[in-house]
Formats: sequence, C-alpha cells, structure tokens
Amino acid sequence: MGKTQLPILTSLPAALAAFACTLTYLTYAWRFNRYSCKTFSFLWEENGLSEELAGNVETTMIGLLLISAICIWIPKIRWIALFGAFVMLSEMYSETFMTSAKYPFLYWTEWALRYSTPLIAILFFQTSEKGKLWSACIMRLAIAAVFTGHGIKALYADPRFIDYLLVTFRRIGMETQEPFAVTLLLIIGTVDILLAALILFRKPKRNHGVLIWIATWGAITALARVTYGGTGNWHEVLIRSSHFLVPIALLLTYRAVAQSDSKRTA
Amino acid sequence: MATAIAINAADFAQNVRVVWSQKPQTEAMVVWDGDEILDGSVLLYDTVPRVSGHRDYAFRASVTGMGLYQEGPAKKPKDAEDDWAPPAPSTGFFYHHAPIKNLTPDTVYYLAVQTADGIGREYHFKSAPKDGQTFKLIYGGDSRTHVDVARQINEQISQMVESDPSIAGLLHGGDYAVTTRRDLWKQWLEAYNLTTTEDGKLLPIIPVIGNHDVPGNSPIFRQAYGYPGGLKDYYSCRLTPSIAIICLNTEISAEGDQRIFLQKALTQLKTDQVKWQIAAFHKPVYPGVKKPSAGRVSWVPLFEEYNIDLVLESDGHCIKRTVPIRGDIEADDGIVYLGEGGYGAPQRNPKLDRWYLQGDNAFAGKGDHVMILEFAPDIIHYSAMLNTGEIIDSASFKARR
Ligand SMILES: [Fe+2]
Repeated sequence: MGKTQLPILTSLPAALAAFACTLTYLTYAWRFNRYSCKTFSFLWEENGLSEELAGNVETTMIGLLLISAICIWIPKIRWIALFGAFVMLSEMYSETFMTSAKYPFLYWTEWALRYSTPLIAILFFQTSEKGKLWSACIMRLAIAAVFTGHGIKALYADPRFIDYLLVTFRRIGMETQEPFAVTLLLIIGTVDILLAALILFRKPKRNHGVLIWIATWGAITALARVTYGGTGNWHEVLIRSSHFLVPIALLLTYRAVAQSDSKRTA
Repeated sequence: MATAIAINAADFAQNVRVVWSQKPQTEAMVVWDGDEILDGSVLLYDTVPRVSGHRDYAFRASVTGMGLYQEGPAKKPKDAEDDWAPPAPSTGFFYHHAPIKNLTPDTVYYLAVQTADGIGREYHFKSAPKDGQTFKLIYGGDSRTHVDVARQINEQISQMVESDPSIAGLLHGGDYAVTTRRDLWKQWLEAYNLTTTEDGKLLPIIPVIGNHDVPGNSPIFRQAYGYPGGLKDYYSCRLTPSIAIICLNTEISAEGDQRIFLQKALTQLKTDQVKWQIAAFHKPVYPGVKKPSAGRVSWVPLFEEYNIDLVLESDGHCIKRTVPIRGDIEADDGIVYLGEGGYGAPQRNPKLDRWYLQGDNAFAGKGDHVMILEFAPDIIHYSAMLNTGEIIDSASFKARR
C-alpha cells in the first residue's frame, strides 16, 4: 500500500472477513462431524493413535472451530478465533504428510485464505491504521497464494477439476470430453497464476478490476461444487466463502484508500 | 540329485502369481519377482503336472515385460531409528510378466518358471469357471499398514482354498501397501504368496487400484499385476459369460474417458445379456465413514440406469453393507454397496447415523475381514468373515435377469 495514509476505514471489509471466517469454520465443524477429518486419519492411521484418542482430538477441533466462528465477532476475545486457523493448519499438516498425499505442500497455498481469514479480520477490526495495512497485506498474499495453488492444480489437470467441468457441462446439455476439459484447465490454470501475479506485483490502485474478476471467479468456482454435485454439496461452497468475500473486502479497502487519496489531492 | 539342485537353483522366481483381468476364462497374466532380472526366463505350462522326470511342458510363454519396480517417495517407518534413511534406490526387486492365452475354462494349468539355472517349483491354478458353475470369489481391500494381519488372513485363505475347491479367485479392492515403495510392495507380494497352498495351488487375483497405489505417479501397481487396466487402470473383467466385474479407478477423472468406458462396458453387458453385473472400485460412493467419492455423481446414475447387481468398495476401513439404493433412497430394486476394506488396514467405527447403513437390510461394523461371494446360477450368497473365522454378516442377492 506504499506510503499512502490510510483513513480509519469503515469496518465493512473486516465484517466480510469475519463473516467468511464464521461461514468457513461452522461448515468445517459440520464436515468434521459428518465425514471425519484429515487430522483424525493422520493420527490414527499413520501414527498409531487409538481411535478413541484421535476421536477426542477431532471433537476438540470441532469445538475450536465452533468457538472461533463465534468469537471472531466479540471484540475483546476475537483473538480466540485464531484457534480455528490452528485447526486448519493441523488439517493441512496432516494432508501434507499423509502417505497418500497427491500434492504435498500445495495445500498450504490452496488453503491460504481458510487459515488466514481470522487473522485478516482481527487485524482489520483494530482501529489502528497499521493493523489494517497488515490485514490488507495478508489478504493480498493469501489471495495470490490461493490462486497460485489452484492454478498449479489446474495445470496438473487435477481429476476432480476435470470432473467439475465435464459434469457442469453435461448438466447444461453440453457433451464435452476429457481432452477438452484438460485444455480448458490449462487456460484456467494459466489465468489463475497470472491473476495471482497481478495481485502480488501490480500497484493496488490498478487492481480494482482484477479483484472484481477474482471475487467473481472465486464465487463461480465455489458454486461449481453445487452445479457439480447438487445442493447436497452446499458445504463445499461455504468452506470456500473466503475465496470471494475476502477479495471483496480487499477491493473495498483499496477503494477507500483511493477515495481518501483523491480527497487529499483535491 | 542333479535335478533337485537345478530346481533349487531356479527358484529365484519369487511370488509367482496369476492375475486375471479381462478374460480370465481364456487368458491370464503370470507374474513373478526376483532380486535381480531373471534374464532369459520363460514360463512353462501344461494341463498335466510335470513335476518330475524331464519336466516336458507342452507350452511356453515368453516374458513380455520385466524390470525394476519403480517406486514412489519413501516414508519413515513408525518404529525407525532417528538416523533412518530411505532405502537405496539400488534395492533390487524386479518384476517379470508372462501372459498366457487360449486357455480352456475350468481347467487346471501346471506352470513353472524356467531360468538359466533350470526349472523352478511347479505351481498350478484353475482358469475361470465354466458358465453356470457355482463358485466362490473372495473380496478384500486395504491390505496396507498391518502387513502381519494381511499375512494371517492370507494363511487363512490358503487353508480355505485347500479345503474348498470352489474358491476361484480373489478380488482386491486396492491399497495393497501404505505407499508405492518397493520394500512395502515386496512385503505385500510376499504376504499374498501365503495364499498359495502347500501343494502349489495359486489363487488368481483380480486387482483394483487404490489411492495408496499411486503416490509419486508410481507405476508399481501396473508392474506388480502386469498392467491389468493398461495405462488407465480400469477394465471390464468377464469372469464367465454370465458374470462381469467392472473394475474402476477412483484416482483419475470419474467423468471423463472413464465414464465413456463405463457406459460402453455396461451397454456391452446389456447386449450380451450378462446375468451378474458388478462394479468394483476403491473409494466408496456410499461410504461408511468418509465423503462420497466422485463416482457418486458420475457412475451411480449409470449403475442404476443399467440396473447392475452389486457394487464392491474399499478405503473406509470398516465393514458395511448398505440397504438397496436407487435414486438416493432405499428401494427394493436398489443396488447394494458392499465392502470398505479390512485386509490389514486398521479398522474404525462406521458412522451409524447414515441412512443407508440403518435397518434390517443393512450392516455396519468393523474388524479385520474379507468377504466371500458365492455365485450360484440365480443367487449370490455373501458373507463377511473376520480373521477369527467368524461370519459377522451375510445376505443373498437374487438375480435381476
Ligand atoms: Fe484408500
């Protein structure tokens, strides 16, 4: 954000980030309860922890997610929401070191918004400009990481991405085939990485359009889980709510900065 | 005495096994391993035993593929010392493929591997049953992690094979070893070798690929089983003219080329009026514990449209038999989803609140196990057998056609 002086912004971006945090963590809590979690498998299958103990860890993680989803809205105890981020980090660690891991280490970029959202919200809710600057900086990094991670996965022609595309096309009556989906993923992956580079390296004030694009694409790809798997896949959309809410939050921040700059120039 | 020395010297061929893929009545892939490339080795076979004398086998099959098993990344074992290092790539473990064709159904074939040192031990196996014949198929998945359990179950299977000649083969639902390491696969292949009876009867295996069989894009599954599904790892196994098992791959796109293959295979089965149509794959679409795999969207509608009889799944590490399902609800004419893998992998409690695991028509539990499917002309008798020998669940499925 350079040397720009930030005004005390409205807390709408913070509220959006907090909302994303609540949606993501409530949905993850539901999913862990319904489908179990990676940490359970990692502790129990790979490290020989008893099923009961691993189950207790899982229950604790569900509890932490629920508490985080609520605490992010309570000013004095907002920091407790960082436990939710810790749960996400534990999931990524497990996913990375599972023997069956397909893309070890890619998860850390792919999930960047899911674990950084509480921090983004907490910093933004602070009244100091410095906090908000840090928050915007993390948003920028996390968005770029998510787009890079998904972009690389698309370039790998991830089987699930192929499925999302082909099933969505089939549902709208377009019969397409795997090579077409793979080519499309090549384009999507390249564009994702390009967007990540723009967010990361271009001046924020020139990135408003890019952020609108990113938020729209984030929403489309999240909603694709429902066009793919039906309304029963609602949870897949909500765990990705940060993929469109946080870019909007960053856009609002940039707009506020731009407005304040133009006022000052005037 | 000279003959005896020659036989011992030639027994460098390890883990001799028979793999069934597309046409088990008339074709088989014989695979063996070695600590080194057994150059110039050849498979000898015949319909009569040639265990003594000149060992004059009537048929020979050349080795069409051999090489070092290509492995994925190493994982530090739980009980390893601090200074543990991954096994050197030079750890020798080599595969040899010898396909045999033009077999007669329900016929015993005697075989031996000949190397530069002589002719090895004689084994025998029976080609897939004749049409209409009652026989049993063992189904097990997830032999990974506790290889001691897999060994014990395989010894148990060997005894069953010895006492029950109607056991024709074993369908493995995937996840043979924890990962694609050569040393771990060696352990599994040696464990499977324990299914071979004392008198050398081999239990043919129909292999399905699992998620632990692919890390690092390792081709070890293909090398261990002679490329049963080519480079895509899916295929339709016509066990007899009346019984087909479509083996699918949950580790690649479910919707793309594989769905086209599935639709074509099912259309062919319909044209051929195949009585029993079964699908087998690793990650479950009606899981006992985890999330449904992509087949739920891409394959289940086809299973229902073509009215297949039974689906066999693994990966969940529990025991489950769903209610008959059609259109995502319980239905009398629905499809039952069986399995979830207990051939060595640690067992966990299934999620009993799932609607398809509830009621008298379903079962959910846990325990090291394999399943036995008896194919009679108009009925399949199924039972889930724990490694203690206890039958924990059983049911029957009547023919639809
Ligand atoms: Fe698995």
